[in-house]
Amino acid sequence: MPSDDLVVLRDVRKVYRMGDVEVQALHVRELTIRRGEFVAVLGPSGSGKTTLLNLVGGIDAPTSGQILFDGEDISGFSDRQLTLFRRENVGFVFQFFNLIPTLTAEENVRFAVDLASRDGVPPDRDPKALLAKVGLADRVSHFPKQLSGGEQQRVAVARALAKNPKLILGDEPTGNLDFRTGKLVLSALRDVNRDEGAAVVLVTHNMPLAAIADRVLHIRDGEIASVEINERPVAPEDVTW
Amino acid sequence: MRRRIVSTLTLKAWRDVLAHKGQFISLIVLVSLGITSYVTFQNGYHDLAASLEQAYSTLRFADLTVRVERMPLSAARDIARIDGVAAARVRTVRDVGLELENGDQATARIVSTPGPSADVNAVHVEQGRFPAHDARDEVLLSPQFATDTKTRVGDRLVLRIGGERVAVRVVGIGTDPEYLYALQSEGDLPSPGSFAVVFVTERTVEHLLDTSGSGNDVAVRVKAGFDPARVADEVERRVRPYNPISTAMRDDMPGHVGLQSELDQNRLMARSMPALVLIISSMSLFIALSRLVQAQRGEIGLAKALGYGDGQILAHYLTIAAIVAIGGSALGVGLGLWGAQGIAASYVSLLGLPFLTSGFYPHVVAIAVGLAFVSCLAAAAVPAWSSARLAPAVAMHADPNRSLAGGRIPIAERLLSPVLPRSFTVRVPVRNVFRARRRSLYTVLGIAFAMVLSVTTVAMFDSIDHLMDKAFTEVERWDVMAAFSVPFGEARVAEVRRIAGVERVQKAFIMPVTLSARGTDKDVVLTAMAPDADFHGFTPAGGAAPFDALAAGDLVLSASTARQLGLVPGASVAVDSPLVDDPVLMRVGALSDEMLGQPAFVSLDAAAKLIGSQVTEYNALYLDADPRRAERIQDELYDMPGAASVQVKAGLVERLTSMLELMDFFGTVLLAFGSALAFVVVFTTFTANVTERTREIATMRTIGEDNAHLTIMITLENLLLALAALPLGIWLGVKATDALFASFTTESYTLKAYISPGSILRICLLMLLVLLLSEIPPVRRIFRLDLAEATKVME
Ligand SMILES: Nc1ncnc2c1ncn2[C@@H]1O[C@H](COP(=O)(O)OP(=O)(O)OP(=O)(O)O)[C@@H](O)[C@H]1O
Ligand SMILES: [Mg+2]
Repeated sequence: MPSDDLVVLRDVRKVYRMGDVEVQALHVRELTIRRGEFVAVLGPSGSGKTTLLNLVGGIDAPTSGQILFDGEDISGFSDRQLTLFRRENVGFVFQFFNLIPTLTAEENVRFAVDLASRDGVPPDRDPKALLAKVGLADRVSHFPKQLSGGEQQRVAVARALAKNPKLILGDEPTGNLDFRTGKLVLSALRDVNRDEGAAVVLVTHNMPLAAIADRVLHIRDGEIASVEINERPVAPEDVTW
Repeated sequence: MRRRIVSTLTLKAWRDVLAHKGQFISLIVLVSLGITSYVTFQNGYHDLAASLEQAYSTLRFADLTVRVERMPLSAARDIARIDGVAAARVRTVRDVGLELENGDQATARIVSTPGPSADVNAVHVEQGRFPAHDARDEVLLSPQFATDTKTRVGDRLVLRIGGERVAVRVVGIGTDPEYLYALQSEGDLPSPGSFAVVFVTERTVEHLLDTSGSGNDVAVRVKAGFDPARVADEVERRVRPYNPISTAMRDDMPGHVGLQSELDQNRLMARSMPALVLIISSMSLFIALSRLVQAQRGEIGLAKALGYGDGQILAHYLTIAAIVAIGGSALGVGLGLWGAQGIAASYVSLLGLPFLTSGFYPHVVAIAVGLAFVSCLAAAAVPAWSSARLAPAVAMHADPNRSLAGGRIPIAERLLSPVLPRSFTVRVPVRNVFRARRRSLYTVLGIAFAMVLSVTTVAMFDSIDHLMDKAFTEVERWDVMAAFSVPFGEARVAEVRRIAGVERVQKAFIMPVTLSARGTDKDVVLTAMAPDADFHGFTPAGGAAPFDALAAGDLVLSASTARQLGLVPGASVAVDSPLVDDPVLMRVGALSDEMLGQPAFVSLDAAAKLIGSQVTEYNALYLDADPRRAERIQDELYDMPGAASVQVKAGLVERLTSMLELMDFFGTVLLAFGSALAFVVVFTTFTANVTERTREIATMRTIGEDNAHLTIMITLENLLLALAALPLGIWLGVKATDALFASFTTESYTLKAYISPGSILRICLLMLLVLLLSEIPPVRRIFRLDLAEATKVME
């Protein structure tokens, strides 16, 4: 029986060195993200939100400290191990969508399915179904540039789902979207979180958005200033801002 | 305010350069390659010309020589007094036999001279010393012969003078300006092993040839500012009592003519080769800068939105281009001056010039720098201007690569799709090739241009080899050919047939004729032969089969002759032969594509009209012979009365091949340029391809794609593009070769670009190697990508 803790950070620091100057971008003494949990991360610009996400997602390595994922310490992983780790466990949704411009919506999703199936994970996910799930059943053969920003971001969500990840990381995925479209993306994320049991960590500048999360981390100057638990998360459709 | 804006943009120009260091360094190298080749070849040419000039002036080269029957040495004083004569010297010039170790005989030209101190045609001693003035058997030997026959200082030579064998001792090796390039007579191919120049003192020549105070040639140097031709007239007048035979101005002296033609060839090369390199490097520069500007369209839009004017934006990119031009010309001029020294030194030693002069030619450098600026500024201005004129919003959203045709999947890809493996590692590259069309186009053009120089170089050699090969296997189908100045009859033919090693003898009568049609005249060499003679292979180019035409009594003309005279098969042409009074009308029966010269053919029977009687005498023989006995056969033929020239095909081929050594030298230099150019261009292209997609690749890596698969995808994509580029590059290269040939094809030979399948294969393999090597740096960039950085920035 695996433990309920999906990610555990212990005394994790990220220090950027620029010449003689050292900038401590992040210092997390203790943080646990549980399976299936929806966590929102709030904080002013430059507070370390993206840094936190990058460390948890294995696209950046901490300067010191331990990051346990499913009980395994990924902080000492090699580049190759990190690649496999990301491939198998993490779905990313970026602020700037980052779809592959030469692939259609369906192919962008299929690319992730293909990746996931490479190491024996059954490719049981149908890209069309995933796109339907985010409301894009009729956009499968569009290229990214033929899609609106919100549509692109929903393709990105579908792509993140393709591998059936344990963790989905979203760095301001609604930052570039209007209110209504933003809500569609959030709904998609919330649904995945509900239906597939994937934990979601969502970085946002938008206080009201945090209302849909189970837990809200407030970050200030690279440290977790406070943690708020939402007894009654709001459905994304009901959020207003 | 305005000034501040401009300086901010200048600052940005520098930042751009520094931020894309690798790209800019390769652009600079690209520009410098064109400049290097220009400076190298041009400076090399000027150095060579200066070295030759120095040899001429230091060694006091005669402006003219007059051959007489016999004149006293003292007559020189009289000639020296002629207005315009700087110096005059009477000497003896006589060809005698020279025994070679293998028993063959070479020609030795005895030239008398006081040596290095002579005030006309002084000798330059390379090794050993000049013969002592009181010695009677010491000689200075020409270096070409010494090298070819491995004759050393101290060796003995056996001369054959009037039937007697006379031994002389080689005390030094060297030559005078007249024989810097040792040719026996004009139009000869150099044959260093069979022609020696032997310089001797007056005392020695008197002993050898019994000249007793006389000579048979006067060499005259003309004062600056005087017309040598007029001086020659006066000299001829003064030597009339001594029975003048011939006068040679410098342009009649075989060595000088040979050197001039080498120099002319060099000048041609020095012009056409750099032109080719410059064109290719400018094209590649254009593509590279276009991409750079394209990639910055967003920034351009932003700058415009902030209020920068089109002119300022244009100035910005021109600044960048100027930085590249400055870097490229500095590097190119430096490398070029260094390379020129090497080129001049090798060329001077290949030609055997005694001195090497290296100079600095400001106009070459000035032109080089000018060329660098013009090509850089032009390459930058066009894309910069078109981008600057975009509306800000369009520019900011313009996408350098996603030029997908209406967002539809291209048909070619759809057709291909069913046969492709399902794996995305294969599918993504295929899709990229078809979908990122602009990038694909840039890449294909980049690779194709990168190849042109190498292909052209290789094609030049292949074409010449091909021409030689065809000429000597398919066209000239004989082993030994003899021409006689006195015609002979069947008895001689039978005699030749009996020479050991002769397998077959075909006879012909060769005469110069003038063809006239529609008021145009053309001098050609007409060969009369049996209709079934096969010593000459035809390449039919219209009309009847050549042999049928001959049998019908018609002419076979070379296609180029027919073109010049406006003749078609079946037309009539007036043939004016020196042997009959009136021109004879003959029919053109067939045309043949001839590579060497413009020969014409007719049957012996039909030739009767041109000779005035039935042909019973001949003046040329074509032999099939045992190649091992060819040299012997040549000697025997030479011993026959009236033998004018006897050629052994194998020897001819050998000499032509050795002449191509100079070409080889150029070829090697060019191939080095070609490979460097290919590498830089492909590298620039690939780096741009990867840089442009940093974000896309970082995204793939973030969602779990590994380096190995990414490398495979990128390699596969590049290979697919190369597949399209290789044939294009070869085609362009062959076209460039044709253009190059067109610039130096003459009437006497027609060169067509040809590239052998083997060369194509080698070039393709070489390019694939270049491709894979050029991929390494950009792929390493991917390995080192900072994912956090690359995925968060907005494009
Ligand atoms: N590559 C880097 N080099 C140096 N400092 C960095 C680097 N990346 C981030 N930082 C610094 O680390 C701190 C945290 O950055 P981070 O990107 O995590 O902020 P953030 O909370 O995501 O801000 P925003 O809301 O603006 O995206 C900032 O002070 C930033 O300047
Ligand atoms: Mg951030």
